[in-house]
Amino acid sequence: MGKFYAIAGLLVLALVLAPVGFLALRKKADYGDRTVLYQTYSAKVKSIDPATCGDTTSASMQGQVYESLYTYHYLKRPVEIIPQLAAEMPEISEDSRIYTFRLKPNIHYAPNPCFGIKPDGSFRTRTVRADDFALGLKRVADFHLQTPLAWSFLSERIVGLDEYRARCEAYREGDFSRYDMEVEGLEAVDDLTLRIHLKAPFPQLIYVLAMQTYAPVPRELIDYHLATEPGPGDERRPIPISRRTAQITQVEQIVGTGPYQLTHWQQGALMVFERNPEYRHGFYPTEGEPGDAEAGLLDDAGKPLPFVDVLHYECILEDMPAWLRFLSRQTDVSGIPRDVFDTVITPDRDLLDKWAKQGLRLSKFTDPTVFWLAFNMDDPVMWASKSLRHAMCLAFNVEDLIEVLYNGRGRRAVNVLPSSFPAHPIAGPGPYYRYDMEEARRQLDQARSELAAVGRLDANDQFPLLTVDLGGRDETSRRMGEFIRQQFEPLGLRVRIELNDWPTLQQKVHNKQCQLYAMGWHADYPDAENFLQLYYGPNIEKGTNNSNYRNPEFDALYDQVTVMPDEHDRNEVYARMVHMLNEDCPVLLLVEPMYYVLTYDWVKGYKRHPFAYGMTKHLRIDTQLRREMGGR
Amino acid sequence: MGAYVIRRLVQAVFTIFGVMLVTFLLFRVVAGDIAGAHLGPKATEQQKREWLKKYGYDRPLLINRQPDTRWYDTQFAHYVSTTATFKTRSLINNEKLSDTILERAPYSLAITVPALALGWALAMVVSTLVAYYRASLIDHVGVFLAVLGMCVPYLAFIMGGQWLMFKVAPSMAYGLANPFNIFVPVVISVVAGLGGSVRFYRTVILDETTRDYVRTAQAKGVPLPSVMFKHILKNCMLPILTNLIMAIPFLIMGSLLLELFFGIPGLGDLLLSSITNRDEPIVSGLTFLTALIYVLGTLATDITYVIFDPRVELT
Repeated sequence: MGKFYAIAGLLVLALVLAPVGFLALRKKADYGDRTVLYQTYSAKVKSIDPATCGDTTSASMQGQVYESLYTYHYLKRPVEIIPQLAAEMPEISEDSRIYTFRLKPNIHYAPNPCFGIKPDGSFRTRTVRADDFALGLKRVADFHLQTPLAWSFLSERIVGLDEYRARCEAYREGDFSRYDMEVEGLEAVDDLTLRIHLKAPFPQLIYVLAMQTYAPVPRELIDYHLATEPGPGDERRPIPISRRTAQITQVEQIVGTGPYQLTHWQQGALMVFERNPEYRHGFYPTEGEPGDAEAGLLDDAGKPLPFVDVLHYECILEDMPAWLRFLSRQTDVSGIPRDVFDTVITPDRDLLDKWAKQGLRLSKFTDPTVFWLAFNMDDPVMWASKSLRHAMCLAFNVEDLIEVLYNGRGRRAVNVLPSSFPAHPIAGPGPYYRYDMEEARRQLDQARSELAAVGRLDANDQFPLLTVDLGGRDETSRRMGEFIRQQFEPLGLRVRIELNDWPTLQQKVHNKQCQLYAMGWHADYPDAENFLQLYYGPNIEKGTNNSNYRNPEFDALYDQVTVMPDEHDRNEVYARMVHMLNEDCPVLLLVEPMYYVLTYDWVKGYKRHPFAYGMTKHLRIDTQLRREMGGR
Repeated sequence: MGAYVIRRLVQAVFTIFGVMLVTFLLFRVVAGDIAGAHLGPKATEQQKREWLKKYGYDRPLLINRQPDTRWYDTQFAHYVSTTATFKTRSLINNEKLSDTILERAPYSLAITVPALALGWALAMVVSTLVAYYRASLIDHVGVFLAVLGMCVPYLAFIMGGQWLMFKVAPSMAYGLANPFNIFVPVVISVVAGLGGSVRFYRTVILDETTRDYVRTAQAKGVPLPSVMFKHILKNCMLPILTNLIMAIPFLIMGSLLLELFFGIPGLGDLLLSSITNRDEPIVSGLTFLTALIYVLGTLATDITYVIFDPRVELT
């Protein structure tokens, strides 16, 4: 028996110690004396392929590696678009259908074996060419790649690209000869000149091409990484077509021109980016908006980027561990979890003194996002009474909502556009997007007659029971539902809250089964068209106009404005369109959320950009101060 | 025993097939707008149709009755063939399930295996001790602490343990930068589970102490420690090993909360996040894996009975 206990004891000891051996075998991060930025992210990275990027976490990571033709000025607000890989702004033909882009010369990709290996074993590189952009755009149109977001901006825009997508379907996923097919509207005139032919004027193209999802892709990447694999010795052998995938999924397959290279990626755990030795074309801006100089944001003006050598990103899905890690000075930048908000921020929304004394700084930003409750305009009740919609808008205390559910982090949305858009102030606030119970009751009386006229009151001449669908079943959604119900109670409106998971809500919205439902939109680019398309009649079929709002006058203006080249003229028309929406109220506008970010004093140059990714290259870390303050 | 094992394996095939059929039907019934869930709110109807076609969701469910097609060219046949071979790919990142399991399972096992082994050993020692000193102060304190441990929520152990580590050794409180960091979640897991195990094993041991052979041994003057370690514990092994072996199949799936809070890139949250993200191939694959190892685990338990109790016959 003694032997049994001894063996059991040894076995237990071996099982307890075994993981240490396994974990010790992993490659250890050793950054030496290089400057490292430590940060956390709270959602999993779904894609490292520029074409398939569709979520903000993936986009923010890809932004370190990939670059597109244009980007945004880091400091200026309102945002300003500037050339990145393009040498200048595009040359646009008179009919606004042909865009010619000249590329900066001598932009190199990060070294990669797909370009060849030098005698000393290091990887070669090559300069970016116009046909790389054409390939990047063809991949976005590739039927075999899941590119919903990237394709949505190009669909029906470029001559021949939709036909190319249709032709791709006939090819097998691993047959990359489809990338050799010509697309009429994509023309690499020479190595440094790209020409895009549009089916119709599309003034927003310049914004679209500022997304890194349209980054250049060298053909060598496809032929080397996706079509071949390591063979015997140093040789590479072809991968059978049936086994190939078209998506970039491995770290070594990433070939970009950005300031960093991804050198380590452990799904759901860690991403490490290291300086791209070939990156020489980025410099810190020399001008910003008023106040930037005083805030120290111009201290590094004109210096070559990036300042930090290594970006060390840990994926922490839970708020509290990320927060504790930040407080213990293991990371440099953090948001503020809702549960601790009141212990960090004063009632007048400033940083509590005790935190400021510990070297923390607070930055507040409004993102170009608007949340709302949409009225289904195909619903017989919602459609029949504009006054009912008005009454519900007026009875909703959005200010309370912001206080109760957003910790005060947000502002009331007063028209359908984000407040940072130029057309927002021109359009002004909607007359019904305010809290006014008296006016709400007046509107409700009017609504009663409107619904009675079409026979939509119930048997007791009461308003029918209204249903609000929310896309979530968690505690936040439950609280939101309860809050919504309370808002309409004083009007005597009976409301039922339905909690759905997100796909179910989408299905119901698609099937037009909802009456009211919670939705929102994050701007893809700073042009009001991006929001107003949500109310364009023909987009009901496409699924983007899901409030089912129909207004021929609005549609005519939309058709007119989307091809107007001059931004100022467009904004005037946008304002007229917003006025129509303000009057018709197809949505009950809620909140433009606001984000609070904390950094330690040792982080220099932090300013969140509402659209652009890949701005981390502007951050500088005072490593000495970090060490003095107890950081890593 | 050979015939018994073969019969059980044949039964297992049907059980697992049933699990796969139920999972398949459930997912098809509650799927909602699966294309919309993957393509996001900005996708058009045309894109959704293309997506469904690309992933084969436009095929018939169980039997293909369309002319000029094979009857088994269906969603279910595709599902069975890819799931059973672990060749199924994630709808989120196109990663093959077998690769995901191979990459992540070692991390899950790095927590669950030591936690199980250490937890089992500690629980055995403590429960033997409290049983040995039955009705004494040691027993009362031991049982009190065990019940107390059972009353404290698992999440409280995790958050408290992590908070403590951030205070005393911040670099060990999260992640695996140092291999020894793994012992923080392991210890939390052991401590959190110790109460329940001690209570269970103590009861099993005490049940055994009232047997005739114990009384006889004591009457013959065998010292209590010898009775305890040579006779009682040996005869307790059946329920103890059952308990232990039944836990083994679940080790590979990891511990959701510990992995989340300590940044362990294991399989713990994969099933949950796959359900939330409507990553149906991964959910099906993991369900298949769980069913498979559970069925094999119960078979292994039955076989162990024969080894530890010669009176048991498998027929």
